[in-house]
Amino acid sequence: MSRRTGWRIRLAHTCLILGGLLAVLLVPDLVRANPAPSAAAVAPAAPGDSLAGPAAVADPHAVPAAHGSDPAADAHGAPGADGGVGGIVKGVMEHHLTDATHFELPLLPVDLHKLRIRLPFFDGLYQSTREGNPLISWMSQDPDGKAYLQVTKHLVFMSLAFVLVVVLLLAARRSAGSAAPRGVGNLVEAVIVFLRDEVILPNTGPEGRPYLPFFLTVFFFILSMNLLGLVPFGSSATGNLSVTAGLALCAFALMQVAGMRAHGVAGHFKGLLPHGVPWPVLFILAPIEFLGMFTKPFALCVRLFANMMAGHAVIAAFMGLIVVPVLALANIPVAVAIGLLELFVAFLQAYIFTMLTAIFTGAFIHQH
Amino acid sequence: METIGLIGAGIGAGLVSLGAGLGIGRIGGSAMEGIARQPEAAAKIQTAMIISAALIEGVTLFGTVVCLLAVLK
Repeated sequence: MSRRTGWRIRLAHTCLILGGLLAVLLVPDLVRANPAPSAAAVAPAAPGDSLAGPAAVADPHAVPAAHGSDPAADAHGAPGADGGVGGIVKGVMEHHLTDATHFELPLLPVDLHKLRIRLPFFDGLYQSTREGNPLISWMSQDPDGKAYLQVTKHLVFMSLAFVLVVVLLLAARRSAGSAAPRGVGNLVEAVIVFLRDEVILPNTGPEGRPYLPFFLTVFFFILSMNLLGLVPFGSSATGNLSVTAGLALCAFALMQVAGMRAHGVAGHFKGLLPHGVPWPVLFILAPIEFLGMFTKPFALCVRLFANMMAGHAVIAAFMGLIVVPVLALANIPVAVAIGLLELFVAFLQAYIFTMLTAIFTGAFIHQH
Repeated sequence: METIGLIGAGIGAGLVSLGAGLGIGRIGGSAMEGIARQPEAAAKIQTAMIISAALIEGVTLFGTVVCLLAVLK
């Protein structure tokens, strides 16, 4: 489209394309959220559901056994089998939001429940955490009581985000050395320079330079995981508590390492206590400061997880409100608007995670 | 028992949104005042506003996740 086209036409075209993309994004949820009996025929995942019978038991994301043992209740459109509103919410919404061993690509249901690795070393740990533990939920709840590493939907999308980030950054390297970067290298370099000069180095100081690769990688990784949840048929791996817990664990490790490299192991812990307070106060302050070392990464974890899950939950809830087709006229524009908000939140949360990790690392490096 | 849990979840989610609205509204208001007083500091004020809003929203979503857990269990 040449610049001779008026700005009104270009604006209209842009709105059309964006609106079309977001509407396509919502079609899978629209098809699946309708609890009418005809949904079983309409939804393209019907063969996936019959395969998902044993998968419902093997679902690793801590579905309690009482609910997971009825496969029909876990599939679309048979809500209320567990009783009440909770059953409807679980039956219709849950597999959009939590991890699952099956997911759909266009016209292609993908069933992952056979894709698993036997881990005999963890059998004892699995037995002791039988009832479901959100941080060890990657263990398959197999009826034979053995521990497996189950490949799940979030793991697949996390790996896809990993591949995307690697490809993007390798492609950006080609114009890395030149004075005027071109193409995707330009984009990546602009983002990296902004993060480095406005967000990370002002907060960590010049001693934070060795940790730059971590901050930049974590930003792009979280961003791509968040954005993959917005494309049609995609799901964001950061909507899984285990994934954000892993990221927060890496941030925690970085904070400790940064503090210990700057001040030594003893100095790192001694620096938690502020100067110039009377010594009895230290008895109260020391445990609080020590706990604060753990609550900061915990807050990072839950903030990212909750932001991503809440966005998808609201959209799923709006789709679930469509009990008669005419309601779609009201619900879909609202869901599209919330999808736009979610796009903003995806970028914002990646930025906030990076920035807060930089701030906390700087706090450990420069103690008062 | 499940009904009481659901009622609690609903009320809790509403209260959580109330808290977030109050908090972020105050941040927005102060940011507007600051920008009105000193338009050349607008970029810095806007950055600080977005950061504070995201932090408060984090706390909000802690509560929302608890309510969601109450519904889904």
